[in-house]
Amino acid sequence: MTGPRDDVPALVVEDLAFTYPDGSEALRGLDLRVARGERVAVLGPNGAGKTTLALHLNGIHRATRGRVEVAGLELEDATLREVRRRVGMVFQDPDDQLFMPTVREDVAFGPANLGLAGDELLERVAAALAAVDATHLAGRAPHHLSGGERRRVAVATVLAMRPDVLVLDEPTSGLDPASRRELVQVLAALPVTQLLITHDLSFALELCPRSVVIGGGRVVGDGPTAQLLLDEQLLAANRLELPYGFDPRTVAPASPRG
Amino acid sequence: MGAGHAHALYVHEHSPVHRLAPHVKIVAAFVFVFAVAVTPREAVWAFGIDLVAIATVIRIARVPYRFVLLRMAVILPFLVAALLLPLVASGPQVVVFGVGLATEGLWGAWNVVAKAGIGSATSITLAATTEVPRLLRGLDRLRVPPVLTQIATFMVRYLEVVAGELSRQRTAMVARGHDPRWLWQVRPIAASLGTVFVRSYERGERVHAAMLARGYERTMPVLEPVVRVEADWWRASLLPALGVTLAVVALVVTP
Repeated sequence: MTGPRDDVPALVVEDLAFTYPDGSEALRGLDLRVARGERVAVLGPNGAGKTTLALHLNGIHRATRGRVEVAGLELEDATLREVRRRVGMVFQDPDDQLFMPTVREDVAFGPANLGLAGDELLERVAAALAAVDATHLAGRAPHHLSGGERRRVAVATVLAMRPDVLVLDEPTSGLDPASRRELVQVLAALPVTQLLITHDLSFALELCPRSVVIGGGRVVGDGPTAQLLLDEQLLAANRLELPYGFDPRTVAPASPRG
Repeated sequence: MGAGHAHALYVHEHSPVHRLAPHVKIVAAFVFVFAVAVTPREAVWAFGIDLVAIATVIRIARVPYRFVLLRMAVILPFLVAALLLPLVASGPQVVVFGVGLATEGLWGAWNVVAKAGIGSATSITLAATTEVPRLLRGLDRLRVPPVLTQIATFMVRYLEVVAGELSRQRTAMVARGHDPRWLWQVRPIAASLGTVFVRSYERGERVHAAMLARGYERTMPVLEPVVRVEADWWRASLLPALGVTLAVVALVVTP
C-alpha cells in the first residue's frame, strides 16, 4: 500500500460547474488546488456555493462540467468508494452525521464499511476519539451530547476513515466560545489537509494561513488569510464582515500547521 | 449533561439479568409469555408459580417492583374490559354482595387478568434490563430482516430530535399567544406537524448523504464481535423452562 506522494496535490478542482435540478446555477467554473498538509479556509456568504462545492468533493453531487481529483485520484464512478474514503466530510448539522445509537458505533460505521473488523476496528475508533479528546464519550448516545461534543465526535467519525482531506462545513456554527476554542485546538493538532468552509473570519484567520473566497459559484479571491481580510472591497463585495472591533493586523499570525 | 436515560423503560443496573445476551433474553421472554398464555385458566396454582418466578427475576434484576407495577398501567383498559365480563356473560351465576356474577365471566376475567399481568410484567422486565440499541441488535441476531431493525434504529435515534423540534415549535406558538382550547384552533398545530414532517424528510436525505459519505452500501456493518453465549442460554432458559413445564402439567391435569 503506497500513500499518495508528497508532490501530488491533496485536492484539484478544475472548471467545476453544477446546476441544481430546479435550474439554479450553484457553481460556474470553479478552480481550486490544495497542497498536501495545507489548511485552507473557504469563505463566502450564504448561497455562494460553498456547501455545493463540498458535496462535489466526495461525489454526493456529480458535476455538470469539470473535474475533481483527490490525492491524485480522479473522481468517477469507478473511484467513488475510494474518493469517499479519502475525503472526510463533516456536515453542518452533527445530528445528520451522528445516526448510530452510540458514539462508539457511529465512529466505527465508516471504517467498518471499509471492511475493518475486530481489534483493528476498535483501535481505529479509539485513536479517532482520542484525537478529538472524546474518549470518555464513547458509550454515550449522540443526542445526549452538548453541541461542542457533537461537533468533535462528528470530526472523529471521519478521522476514523484516515482521510487525505478533511472537509468541514461551517464547523463553528452554533458553538459557544469555549467549545469553539476546543474545536480550534483539535483541528490545529490534526496533521491532515483541511478545507474549512466558514463565514467566521476570525476562525479562518486563527487556523488557516491561506483562504479562498467564493462568490457566484467561482473563486473570486485566493491568498494569505491576513491579506484577504484586509481587502475591504473584496469583503464588501462578498457580504463578508469582520467581527466588531476585530483588526486582522493586530492579531498574531496563524499558527503553523501540524 | 450526564448520561441521562431518556428511554423511560430502561433501569440502569448491573445485574445478571442485564448482562444476558439480548437475543437470548428476547427468546426466553417470548417462550415464557407463550407458555403462560397456553396454560389453562383453571390451573390457578400454575399462574401463582409463574408470578413468583417472574417476581424473582425482577428481584434478581434489581428492578424496583414499583417501577414494574407503574408501567403495567398500559394493560388497564384490558383489565376494565375483563372486569365487565362477569356482569355481561350469560350462564350459571354466583351471587356476591347481592350482585349476580356469571361463573363463565369470572373465569374469563381471571384469564385475562392473570395472563395479561404476567405477560406485561415479563416484557417490562425485558425492556427494563435491555437498552434499546442492544434490543435491536438482539433482533438482528435473531434474523429479523435488517430493513426493519435499521428503521427501528433510526426511529430511536431521531425520535428525540423530532420531538424536540415539535416542542420548540409549540413553545414558539405559545410565546406568540397561541392557547389552543377549541377544535377550530387546531389549524396551527396541523401546520406545525406538516413542517416537522417536511423537515424530517429533508433530514432523512441529509443523513443518507452523510451515510454515503462514509461508505454506506445498504447493509449496516456488524460492529460487535459474535460472542459465545452458551452459558447465557442455560441461565436464561430457567424461566421459560419453568413456564413450559407448568403449562404442560396444567394441560395434563386439567380435565
